[in-house]
Amino acid sequence: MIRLRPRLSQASNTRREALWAWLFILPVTAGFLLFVLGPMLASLALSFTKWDLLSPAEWAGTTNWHSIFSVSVVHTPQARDEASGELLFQCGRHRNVPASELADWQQRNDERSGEPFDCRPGYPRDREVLPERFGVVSEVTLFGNRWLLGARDHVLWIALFNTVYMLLAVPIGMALALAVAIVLNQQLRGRNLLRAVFYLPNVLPIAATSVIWLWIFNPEFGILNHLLGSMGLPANGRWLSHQGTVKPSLMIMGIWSALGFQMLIYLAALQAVPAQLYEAAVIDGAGLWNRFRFVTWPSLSPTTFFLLVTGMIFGFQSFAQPYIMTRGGPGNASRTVVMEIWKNGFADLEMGYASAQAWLLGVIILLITVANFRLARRWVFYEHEQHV
Amino acid sequence: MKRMVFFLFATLLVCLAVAPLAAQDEEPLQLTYLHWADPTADVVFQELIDQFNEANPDVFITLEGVPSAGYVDYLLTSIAGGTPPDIALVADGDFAVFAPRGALVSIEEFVNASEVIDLDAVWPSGPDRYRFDPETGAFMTGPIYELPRDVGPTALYINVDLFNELGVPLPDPNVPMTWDQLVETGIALTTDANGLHPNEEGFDADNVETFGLGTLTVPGWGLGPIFGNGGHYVSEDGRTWIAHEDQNTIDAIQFLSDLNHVHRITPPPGVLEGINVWDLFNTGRVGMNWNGRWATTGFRDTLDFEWDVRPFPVGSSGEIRAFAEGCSVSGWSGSVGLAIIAGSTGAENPEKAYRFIEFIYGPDGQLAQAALGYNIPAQMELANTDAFLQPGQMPANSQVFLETTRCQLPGPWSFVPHWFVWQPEPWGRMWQAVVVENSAFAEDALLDVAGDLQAGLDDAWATIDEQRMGG
Repeated sequence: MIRLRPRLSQASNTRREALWAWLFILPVTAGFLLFVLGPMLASLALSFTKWDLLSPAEWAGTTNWHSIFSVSVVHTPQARDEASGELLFQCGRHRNVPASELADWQQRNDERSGEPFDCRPGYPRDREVLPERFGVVSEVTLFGNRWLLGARDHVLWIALFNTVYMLLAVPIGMALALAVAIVLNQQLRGRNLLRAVFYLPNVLPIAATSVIWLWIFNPEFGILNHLLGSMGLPANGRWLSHQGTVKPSLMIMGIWSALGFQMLIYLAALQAVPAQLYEAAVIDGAGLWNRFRFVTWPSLSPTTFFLLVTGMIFGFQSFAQPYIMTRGGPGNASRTVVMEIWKNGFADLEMGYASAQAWLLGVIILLITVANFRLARRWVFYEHEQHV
Repeated sequence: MKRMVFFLFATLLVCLAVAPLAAQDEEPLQLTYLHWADPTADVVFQELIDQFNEANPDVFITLEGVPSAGYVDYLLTSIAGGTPPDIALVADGDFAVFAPRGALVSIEEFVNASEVIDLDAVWPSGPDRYRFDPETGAFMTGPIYELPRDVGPTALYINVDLFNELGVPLPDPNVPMTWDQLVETGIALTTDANGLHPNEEGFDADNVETFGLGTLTVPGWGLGPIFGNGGHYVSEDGRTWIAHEDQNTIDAIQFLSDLNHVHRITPPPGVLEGINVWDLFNTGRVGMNWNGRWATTGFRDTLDFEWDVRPFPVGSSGEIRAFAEGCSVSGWSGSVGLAIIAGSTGAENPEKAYRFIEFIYGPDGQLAQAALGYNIPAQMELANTDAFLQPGQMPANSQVFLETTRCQLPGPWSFVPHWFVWQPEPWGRMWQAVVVENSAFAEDALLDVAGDLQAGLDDAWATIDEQRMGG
């Protein structure tokens, strides 16, 4: 008898395949472990230390975390004069106007505006009512009462608010991108050129586009105010130098720069919507809106979901654009969380504290992403599920 | 063919064998010098380094450059990563971060023994800002850690063409203007589209062609007018915030607001979006603008109008802050210095590394930089020669910089740690309310932020004191 060489068993074959598979993903896995997971865990450890980069890190327990979460709400009634007990008001820049003199003040003109004084209830100074070393994150004033939200690191919480506020640009931008994609999905002349034009911002470096937008927004000679003026609208608006308009202005630019990418993804998804679904809808008598509502939108939902999640993650990491355009100003109106982390780490040399802030941001992103995935079960349809 | 290969091989062997013998005595110590990269500085300093390397066969300096925007980050991470440069530029505003943490090597003994450096013959405010006393934790005193590359005073740059065009008399180059004169000149230089001035009926504040004065939306530049009125941010030891209690400081801030809102001679914030006052000056729309001596090199290349310099105006209090005795001019000066970085090869061979620092600060290095318009020679006598004054070159009144260099103070960032970390945010809030929006009086707004600023100051000193006690 001749013994044949035994055939490779099923098991060893699988093992061999697994080995090859590991080999193939090794570069990525090693990169992840070395450059992502390693530093992440290191920064978690650092968040419990005080480290200035120049001398060895020292264990600091939960001090950093305690500083971050030192937050308090303080209620203050309208200020009263200590001696007479009269209510105090503020007229223009003038503080401590007693109630008895109020009528008198309202007759006079503000030395700045030349108009009658605008008088409102006065309150004690913030630092007199907040815990020591707390700053104001936000305040609400109602009927002679004021509530102050104060925090030890008030700038961080302001930055977090700004960052979340500017996330509104994500859904707005996606809606625009979808509209553009639907238009460019039609048989239009020159649509390839238009697609390229819309995608162009995506290949330009953010530093360059930020500088261009700085000039577009310039109130004096920027093209934006010029256009508004030519349409008969007020043309002297301040965009980046005003606390009320700086965030919307940055959002406009953010929407513009993300539009091309979102449009491209939507375009690809639109072309993958099965034609038979539209045919069936037409046979059922569906109009343009109903076809969008019941065929296009559900078919696009995985894409919408993808863009929403990635858009929000990128949005939370916003740094370069506000850093170049406003440095976080005016005041703190456009400061973002990542700018704060950078400042604490590299300017203040508080690497431990910056690490804690980075982890706070990471956890927030994680929670929102998990929430997104949970909610997605209600509105995202995958094609293979539709047949079930 | 075979013979040729053999021949080559043999030659190589011989070379390898002989090379170490030949180099044994003269192998120079390789040191790196890290500076802020910019096209002018790269050329100037490579030239200086070549001169130094030639004259010092036992040391070989290599120039490394990092753009100023990420410079400190780079230096910090290279130190943390264990690969620091041997010698690096550390500005006076960063000195208080590095020195107390032991990141710089003291050069006290070398400076004292030096035959090249005579500390009595140089502008005194230069080297003093690189002193730190680890015993007491005080700056501006104790052992010296750096020698300056330069000291850059600040002055009022004026657009002479615009003065002439509008028929405004030029201010005296040797006597500082008063605030009243500044306002008067500023009004004469501010014109709207119809040629009207801010004090005339029908002046259109939304369409201003030329502004009298710039620089006022930059909170950091408030320091010049504060010093010019005898005020200060902090107490002399740098540990107490005093701006809100000091009437001279309060008046200076209110004056800056009034320039904007009462006299209307400075660009409103809207005009300055996306550009800055320096751009406005460069394009000929601002008559007078505060800037440092460091702007001169660029101005000589780029400005296509005639310009000159004047000393900082003095305030209404009649008091000024100055570094030296008998000064009539005030303001602040900036400086960058060269330091040996701890943990580097240079730190193990401090004498060799110091020799390069000494060369840059010594008469030869300083003269070479001055010839290129790059700085004011550190040696007072050298500065007062044509080598620096360079008749025929703008500014016509270069001598303004001599008195200002002698008299101007270092910014508080030279002797208060982490200034640019804790100060700008609260200060910016005050500035926004008073100078930009005019929604509060200087007195009130300064009081509002005083607590935050003192807290920032306390935290900053605490880190320094901990380091000192711990180390």
